[in-house]
Amino acid sequence: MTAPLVEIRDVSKRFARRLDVAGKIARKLGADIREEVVHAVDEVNLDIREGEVLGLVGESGCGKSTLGRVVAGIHAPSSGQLLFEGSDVATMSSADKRAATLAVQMIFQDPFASLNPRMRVEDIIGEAPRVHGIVSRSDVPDYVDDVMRKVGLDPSLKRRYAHQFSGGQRQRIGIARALAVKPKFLVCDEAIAALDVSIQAQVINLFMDLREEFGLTYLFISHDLSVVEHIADRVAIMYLGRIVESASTEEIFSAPRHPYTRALLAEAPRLDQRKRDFAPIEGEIPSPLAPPDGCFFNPRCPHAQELCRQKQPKLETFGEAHSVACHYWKDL
Amino acid sequence: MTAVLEVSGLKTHFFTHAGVVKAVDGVDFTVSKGEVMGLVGESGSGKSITGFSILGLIDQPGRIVEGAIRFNGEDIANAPEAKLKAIRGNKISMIFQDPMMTLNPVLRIDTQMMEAILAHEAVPKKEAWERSRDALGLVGIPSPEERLRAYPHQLSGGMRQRVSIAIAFLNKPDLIIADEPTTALDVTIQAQIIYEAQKLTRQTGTAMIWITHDLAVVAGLADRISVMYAGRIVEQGQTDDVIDRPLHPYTVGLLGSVPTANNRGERLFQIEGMTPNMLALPEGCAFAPRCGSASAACKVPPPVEHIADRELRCYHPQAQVAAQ
Amino acid sequence: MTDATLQPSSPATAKVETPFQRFRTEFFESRIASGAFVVLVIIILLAILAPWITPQNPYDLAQVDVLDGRLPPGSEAFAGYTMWLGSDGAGRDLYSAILYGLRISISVGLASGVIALLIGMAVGLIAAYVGGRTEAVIMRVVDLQLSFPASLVALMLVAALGKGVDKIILALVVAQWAYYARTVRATALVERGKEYVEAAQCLGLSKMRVVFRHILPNCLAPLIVVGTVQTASAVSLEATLSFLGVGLPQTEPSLGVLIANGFEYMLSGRYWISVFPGIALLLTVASINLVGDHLRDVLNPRLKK
Repeated sequence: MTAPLVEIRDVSKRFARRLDVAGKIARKLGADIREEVVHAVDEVNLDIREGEVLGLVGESGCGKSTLGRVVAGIHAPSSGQLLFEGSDVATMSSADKRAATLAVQMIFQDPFASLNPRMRVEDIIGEAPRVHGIVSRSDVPDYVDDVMRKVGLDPSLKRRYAHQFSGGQRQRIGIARALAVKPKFLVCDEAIAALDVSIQAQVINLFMDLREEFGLTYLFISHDLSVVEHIADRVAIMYLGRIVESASTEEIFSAPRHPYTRALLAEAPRLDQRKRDFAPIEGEIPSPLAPPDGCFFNPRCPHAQELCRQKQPKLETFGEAHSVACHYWKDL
Repeated sequence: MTAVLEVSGLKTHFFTHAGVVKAVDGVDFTVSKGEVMGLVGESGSGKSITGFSILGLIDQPGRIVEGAIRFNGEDIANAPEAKLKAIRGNKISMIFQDPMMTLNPVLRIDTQMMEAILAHEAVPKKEAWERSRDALGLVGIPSPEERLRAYPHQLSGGMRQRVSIAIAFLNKPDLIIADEPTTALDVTIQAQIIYEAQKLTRQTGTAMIWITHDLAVVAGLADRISVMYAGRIVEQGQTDDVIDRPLHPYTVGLLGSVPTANNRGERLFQIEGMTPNMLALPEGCAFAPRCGSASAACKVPPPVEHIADRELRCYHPQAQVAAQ
Repeated sequence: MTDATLQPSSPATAKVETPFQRFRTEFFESRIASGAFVVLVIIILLAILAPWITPQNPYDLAQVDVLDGRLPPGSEAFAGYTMWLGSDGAGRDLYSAILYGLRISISVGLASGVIALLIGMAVGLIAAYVGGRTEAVIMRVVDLQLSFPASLVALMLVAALGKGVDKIILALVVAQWAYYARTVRATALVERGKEYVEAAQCLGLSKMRVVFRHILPNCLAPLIVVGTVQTASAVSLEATLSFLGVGLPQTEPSLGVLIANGFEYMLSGRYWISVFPGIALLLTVASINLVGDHLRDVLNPRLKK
């Protein structure tokens, strides 16, 4: 087994909404305002091995995007460690840190907001390589052409602005921007969710081609199980900031253990299921501001027992690296 | 089965300063009582404009230039606003992707629901309130009496969409047009919404047009599927036929590009090129430039061809692809 | 990837259209805005060319003859030229005085606008990007400033500082920087949260580069809009101060001074001394405002179809 490229050790990310002066006064006067703390990511442990694609699945508000941004270095973890190639990013020398920053790039969901509308494509792609001296100044134009060709863009369009491209092409520009700094690791945050169906397939194929060509490692964040099933080697399922299950793709889809994973699998619409009677799982995703006691899934879980309401289950590993956080996984 | 809605030769064009956008360009379909029709297409295919045309909600610079929309036998294309108002929200209602299109953020749920009833029927307020409460119960909202007193922002996204579905069903409409109602929702919430909508259509016999870009959603929900591309329905038929034995190269491509367990790790089939610019559509079949089977014949727009109970606009049906 | 996946460019987007070109097309679609723009350009040209197209330099006391005072429009001056707009109490040719007055009014408006914009922009960017206590302090100062009417702030300052072009510019800057700071901070906060800024962070770009090369260019559109509107209000504010006699000195008549000079003659039927400078001021302020209003429509993405 290859060594992990990225290790996430007990990483938590909390967002606090502090009260300003007006808020503090209002509270003194009896208004119902509190300092709110959201545990967007709650003590997550994950290893991502070199060359693998780890799918991170969850619903809105489960913290998957926040975790992706912690891995990509956009947010610093509130507690815990992020290790890149075995060393802690927080304590690295500044040169190492820069190398680590460049080695991990992110592909965003929104192909509109993720490109600077005031820059030409050649600058969007070429700026970082020029600033960091990845290629010499005079070679930048050729380098940009080269990167554009790799992602399937016509280099003759590089003088244009982002708004002159279609959604799929913009996403390619975003991918080119990331590739231009020669990353080892791509964090794809819902990278195809905003695209048309026929364009999604093009971009998925592009990700797979790039993986082969450059030996890239991916953290592929998505709510879409079928896409993750297609592209990932391993899958982790998140619910309200915690990993509830992780295993190889094969195992997650053939032998899911956690009731939440089962619900997700059963309820994702599939082409081969016709006129079926949906019997969906009840209830809503609780607010991360006020998560339930014990297992976060217990209010919606059909198998919940007294223990689930009191004690938070630990992630247990069995078989070949299959982990599940459920008190009763053996009985299900 | 009796037809609730018959759309024939519908053309809705937008006259912009940059040129004429033929958003809907010759669309025919029929929806029968109790039937769920899936209207599938990518962005810009004209699927939503088709829905808006039926409700008479096309604003300047667009208008219905041709065609008939027969609702219960009566043509309502370009009908006077007063008449459409009486039908809208009453006999035909709509569910939007964003429930806040239906809900007014500054009014309580009960006010809005009772208003929807009282606008079309003279009933005592108490009865309107009771019907609103029952409607919320029907869409699976727990403690409906309490929710009636809430404002929209106090509800979650899934709850709001349930409320807008309850409002859509309030006046026992003959037809509901649902425009991407679950696109913004999570998987488990989407499943709940589809479940409620499906249950209600079965109970009430309401016909439904479910507009979506997601083939997998309509595969599990619709009786029939119409696939739109660049303003035209390129293929329609029973759900099983369209999904299992697609004929149009576009449908074949769309289905092939959906990742499934069968093609894990392989390259997906991809439709080349991009969705067409509606201002500069290619001559003839709009899909031809992206189509692997295109020939010289495709320069002339393909007519609607009837094959058994299916309809197709293509000179090169992909029977051989489906057979493999 | 093979060349087969290269995306063909559709004919409609084949020509390279810069954001500026697109903006230009959209701006001149409105007739009112185009008209206002033309009027504004003419006014500015007249102001710039004043020394060459006027018969008299109203600042040069040697050229001003008191005997020419209060002549009605169309009269002949002692020096032989026709005073098409009449003359004021001191014997200045009003046509010349108005053009020279425009020069002063517009340059005062522009200078104070530009300086206030630069200060406000820097302060607003710092507030948005640094955040925390710095932001809180800056924004409370801005709030305090904005809670006073700008004219009151300017009036108090000029009263304390005394007359003169430099002092009035300073007063206008103090009265107006807060508008820019508030606008820039609000836009910069929105832009900072966008994914392209996160992408720039991922690419290891320095904070300075992110703020000035990525965030700032995207804040310019609302800034231009506020800038035009504030310049118009600076012009009228200067006129107000001068009218009240605390702005520019009598020897350097701006439009406000001219209007004030003619005011005492209004009731005696010598309307032209106040009315013509008044019309010039109205045209200037109205055309800048119309241009600014339409800029807001064109540059605001929320109003776009």
